[in-house]
Amino acid sequence: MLENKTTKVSGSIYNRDKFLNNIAEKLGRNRKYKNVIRPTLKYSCHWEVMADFTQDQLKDELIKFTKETLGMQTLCIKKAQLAETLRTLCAHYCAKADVHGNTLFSADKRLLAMLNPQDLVNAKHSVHIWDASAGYKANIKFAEQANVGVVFAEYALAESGTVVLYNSALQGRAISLLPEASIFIVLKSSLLPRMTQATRILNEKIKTGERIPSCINFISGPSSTADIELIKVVGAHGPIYATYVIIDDM
Amino acid sequence: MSMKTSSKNFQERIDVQMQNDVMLHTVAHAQGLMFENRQIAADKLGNWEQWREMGKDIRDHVLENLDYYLQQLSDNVKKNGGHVFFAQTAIEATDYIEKIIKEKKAKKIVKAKSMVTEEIGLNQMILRNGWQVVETDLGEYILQCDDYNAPSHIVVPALHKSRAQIREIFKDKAGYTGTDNPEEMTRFVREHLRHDFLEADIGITGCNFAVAESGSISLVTNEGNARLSTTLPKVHIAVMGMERIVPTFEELDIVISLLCRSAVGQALTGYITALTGPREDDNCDGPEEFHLVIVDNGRSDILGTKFQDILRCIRCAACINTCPAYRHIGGQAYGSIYPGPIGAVLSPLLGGYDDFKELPYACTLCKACHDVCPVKIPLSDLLLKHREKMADQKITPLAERAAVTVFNYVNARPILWNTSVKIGARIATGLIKKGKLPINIGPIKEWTNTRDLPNPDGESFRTWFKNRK
Repeated sequence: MLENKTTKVSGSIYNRDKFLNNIAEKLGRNRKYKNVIRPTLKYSCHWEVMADFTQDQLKDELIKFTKETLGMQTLCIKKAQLAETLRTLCAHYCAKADVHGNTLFSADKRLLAMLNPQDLVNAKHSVHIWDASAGYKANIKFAEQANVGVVFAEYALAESGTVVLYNSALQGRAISLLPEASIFIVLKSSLLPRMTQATRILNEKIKTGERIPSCINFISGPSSTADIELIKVVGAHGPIYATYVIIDDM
Repeated sequence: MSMKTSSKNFQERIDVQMQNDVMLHTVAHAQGLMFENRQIAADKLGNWEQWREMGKDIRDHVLENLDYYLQQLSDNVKKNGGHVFFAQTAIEATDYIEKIIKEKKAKKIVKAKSMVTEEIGLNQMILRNGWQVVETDLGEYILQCDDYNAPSHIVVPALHKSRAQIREIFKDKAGYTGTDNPEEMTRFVREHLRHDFLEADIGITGCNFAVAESGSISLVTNEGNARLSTTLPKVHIAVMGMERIVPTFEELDIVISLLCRSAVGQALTGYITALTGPREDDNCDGPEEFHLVIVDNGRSDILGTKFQDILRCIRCAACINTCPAYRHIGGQAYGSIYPGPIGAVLSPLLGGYDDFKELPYACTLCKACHDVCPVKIPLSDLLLKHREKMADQKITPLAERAAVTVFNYVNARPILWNTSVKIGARIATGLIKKGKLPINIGPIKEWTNTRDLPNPDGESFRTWFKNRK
């Protein structure tokens, strides 16, 4: 492994002008530096998908899609049931670990406000909470050993059975990646019809000059592949199992 | 690998592929399945023609203003703390990446599937230096284990291999002892490559689309290997073809929706990952360093020409999955990492007519590719333009040009034409015996070989028609 350097290098650009001048020349005009207006899209069919759905209808669509198309489970529960639900799910996913199961929790404040992960600890089940200050090695080691990773999703998209994850210091990328099973917690009020709404939100952020998180993932179910004779195999390099838990907050 | 995948000539490649029953079977089966899935996904979404038109408009707008959007993209990547290298040629790109690998004293590199890294011959550079590179996409891994067997499809590179063949490859090269069950083999690769991700110093990916306004790159995957490659190693290098860019996330929504449905019939693939610069200072996983290598490698020579439409391509392979020629000769026969209709247009443009002059003829002009293309590239028209251009440049065979010249001459003179077809009909009557010609020649050889011709009655069509009145 490379040494762990903490100094942040500032960005740089190489060979740009020659490269872009050539493009302008091939397009038969001078370089364009400003005043390019992106045209409004001709149609609005992307906004029409599930446009008039209530949150409950979106929830039903999401549950149906994940079950029928992604072959996975989506639960909808009250906040008070979260600890019990996670206890059951973790026990289920850890059952393969003969002796002791491990679950890695995101430290996202919205998640920790709903339950205390330590409540899930028992003789056969340990819990770790992501702690960026402990550094790469320690966190990755936990993630590698964990059977389950629990994360908080910003949004879920009904059309494609997708959860939208933002990385942060509290919620590292590896939590939903290294453990065999992923559990995604999302609020019912955060359900959206499709990617159109989620990307609009990002657009708004970017327009205000805010830097968006360095890693945003649109995740639809467990990892999969069809590279051998196009036969779908669930569980490739990423998680093999996934469950979405919708919290009924409305 | 670079773009050219074979030193055999086109006819030899076709002959080899047409004997390959395993390939023919798996390709025909896969093509049918992918064609169907794409159609179902498009129908389910609804308004597909409107979606396609938006896709076309977005891509056209970007191409017309490419310098502007690449400037915006690079400014924003820099602002986020990333490094941007503009590479005019494949060599410039690999030299820059070589320099980074040396600076980092990296030993092991994990790669997620990327066509442009194949195009620039990245792996050859890495192997030449004695570093270890691991292709982590399952399909690419199969081909890497098989001594870098050429890919046959841009989305499913090992499409031409059967599960039994894959089992043999893993047995010989990776110590696999299990059955040819796809799930068992996939799990084996998962376990086998996990430590490579953890040990790798650098992760290299492609870029499906960059977003100019935020300086992001997006990756469209299913396996999770691209996420691992951009989460665990300290350095991430993304390589993109210079035209793979959209203005904002609003357009990204449209092109990603088109791509996932057209490529694999999914509403969205398992992972759409948007990466913006290196990780934030207070994060502990994700790369500390981010490099974006923007590759021209012949693309700018297409801008402003009658072939510009091909740069709209979003690499979904819907055209490949629809093409009857591809179905019969398979991907490797094209001799390019880009097969099928897209490859037949793009390969001669990026790689030149010397190596790829036959590809524009690997087409029946059925236009099915045009109908399925999510960004409405008139692929068959572009293939015809290649043929015209080669005829103008006198690259086509002398016999073909002579034949066309004679045809044009005769066709322009009605009396000569009439006389010729009458004589032709007589000659045909003398030659065709029991549905067979005495010799099978030139471009019609394959056809006359396998088919019975009708018995001619010595009349031309015009004479026959006149007599019927």
